[in-house]
Amino acid sequence: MGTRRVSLAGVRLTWALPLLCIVTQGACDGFLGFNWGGGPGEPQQPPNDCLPLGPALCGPPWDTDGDTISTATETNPTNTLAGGGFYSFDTLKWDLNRSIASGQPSSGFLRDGMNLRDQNLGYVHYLGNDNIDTDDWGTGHLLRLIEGSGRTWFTTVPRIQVLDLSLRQGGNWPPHVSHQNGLDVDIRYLRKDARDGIYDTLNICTQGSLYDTLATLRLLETIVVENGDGREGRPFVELVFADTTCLGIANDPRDPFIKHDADHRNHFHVRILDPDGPNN
Amino acid sequence: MARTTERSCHVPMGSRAAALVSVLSALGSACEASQAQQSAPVLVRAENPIGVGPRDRVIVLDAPTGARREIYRSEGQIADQVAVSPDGRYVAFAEVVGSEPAAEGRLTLLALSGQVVRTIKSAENRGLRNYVWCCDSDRIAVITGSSREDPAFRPETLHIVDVRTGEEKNVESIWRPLQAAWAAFDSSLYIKGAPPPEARGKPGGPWPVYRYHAPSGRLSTTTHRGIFFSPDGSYYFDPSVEGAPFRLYRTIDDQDVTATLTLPSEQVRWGPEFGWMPGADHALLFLDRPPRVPLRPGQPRAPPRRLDPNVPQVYPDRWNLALDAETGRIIDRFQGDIGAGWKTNASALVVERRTGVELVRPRRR
Repeated sequence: MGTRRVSLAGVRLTWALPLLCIVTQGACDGFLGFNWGGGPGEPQQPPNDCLPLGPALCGPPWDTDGDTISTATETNPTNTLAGGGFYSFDTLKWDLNRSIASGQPSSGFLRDGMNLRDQNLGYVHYLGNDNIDTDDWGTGHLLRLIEGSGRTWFTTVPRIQVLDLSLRQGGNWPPHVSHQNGLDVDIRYLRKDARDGIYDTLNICTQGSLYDTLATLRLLETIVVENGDGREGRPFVELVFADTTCLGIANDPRDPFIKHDADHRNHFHVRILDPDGPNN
Repeated sequence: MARTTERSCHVPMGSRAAALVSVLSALGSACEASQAQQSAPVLVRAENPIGVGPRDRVIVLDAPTGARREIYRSEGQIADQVAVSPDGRYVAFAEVVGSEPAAEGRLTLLALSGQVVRTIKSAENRGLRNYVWCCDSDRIAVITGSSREDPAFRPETLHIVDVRTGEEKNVESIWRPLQAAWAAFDSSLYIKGAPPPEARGKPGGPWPVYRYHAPSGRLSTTTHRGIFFSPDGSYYFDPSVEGAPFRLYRTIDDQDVTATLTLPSEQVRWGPEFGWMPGADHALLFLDRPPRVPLRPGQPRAPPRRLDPNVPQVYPDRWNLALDAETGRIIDRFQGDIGAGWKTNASALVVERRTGVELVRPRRR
């Protein structure tokens, strides 16, 4: 009994400090909040496990263990080793984000990428002419951007319509020039009729009357300003490629993230800054 | 930095009273001589009647009379700017007519009289991807194929279409031709294709570049890395696509000479906004603007804003730079909008200024 009492006390002490740290969101030395998922300046190993605190104390409902990898991603069977993925996630433990964007977006590959759920709060992913779960792999940070934007957007219609990310291990993927290392995602412009079905494509240069400029502007704000500012563990949106001759939207000169590309008329293209740095 | 000497031939311009068409020659030759060398240069563009919004008509600016003449009114929208055939007889443009789900994309080939000479329609899963005048003034190279969102994948194919007869010649043995550019200096069409299917998912390497020699009809692979050759053929570039950095190469040995360009690296990364200067040997056209320093993570972001839909996107006051590809130095700086959509068959640059639309010939060194 005495042994057990000592043991429980130790366990309580072991729990108490991380709990305090979690609740205070980084007030403790060496604890960097929830953003340890492999990015620059983020610890490469989790400081502790969520258990046995219980999920309610670890993170929000969409990330029960508070490890910045969403529960939807952790429970996506495609991400399991048996399902063709690279992880053995535990929704009650802090898992390590091992995804690495290797090389450059136009000459690189993706290591230990994560597969995006085809549908979740606020977004839907369309395959186009790809096979299921072949075209929607990315770094953990890219999935964080899409899922975070979806949560911000989810009361709005139409949903965010997500197209291509990267292949399972990245690499060449013509006719894409980039999309090779898990940092890029294509997203449809929004229609005035709010349709978001698989065949409800929109070309902003030839279907201008259907193009909802204001809704697309709000979507860009959601993705770039609210979820892509690089603060508090959020990824940083580096570039958005769009056909600016038809876009009807301009960026602030102090924040020149929109770049003209005439091949981006039926979707815009979002690139995040490489979270693990450019030299790997 | 030397300034181009300009001499203007003023021509009244119908509805735009203040506009001028001037043919400028830095050679110092008279306007008449320039015009004689370039018989009846054609100026054409697709536009919207108020200068903003979807383009739905094709306008010819008639140099001898200065009149603006509408030669075509689309029942839908014109997707791109027009392309003028080398002899100035034809105009090609992509348009979409009808409303969904029956909207139809097509390439329309128009005589300057306004007569539709031919239309090349998109088929299901085989949309128009790219087109370029090539080979001679009666032929145009057309790339068709499926888009990423088409339900079925159909690899792109390249055809050369005779505008007069409609006869199509398939250029085979290229896996997924994606870009094409005509190189008049060696009578060849250069084509950039995708890597072969077995390269899918592999780390990226250079994409193959092919040469289709028009007189012989022979197709060959090249060691080049891009297809956009300078008018004299001594340099070529590979444009920045989806953030892949712009690269300038010397043709004779495919050496990357991008580093010689004397502009800020951030500007060089995105490449020349307006490509090669027509009529010059090898001068690249950049916008002259201060480099924009991107934000860094953690800095508060500035939200984008909607452009005023009633304000035409024409920029007659902005400045442009011409850089010599050989030395990398700036050889000219001039004012006006060179991206306003005007196209010509003349070996000259079309510049829209507050005083009107002008054809500018490069200064020779």
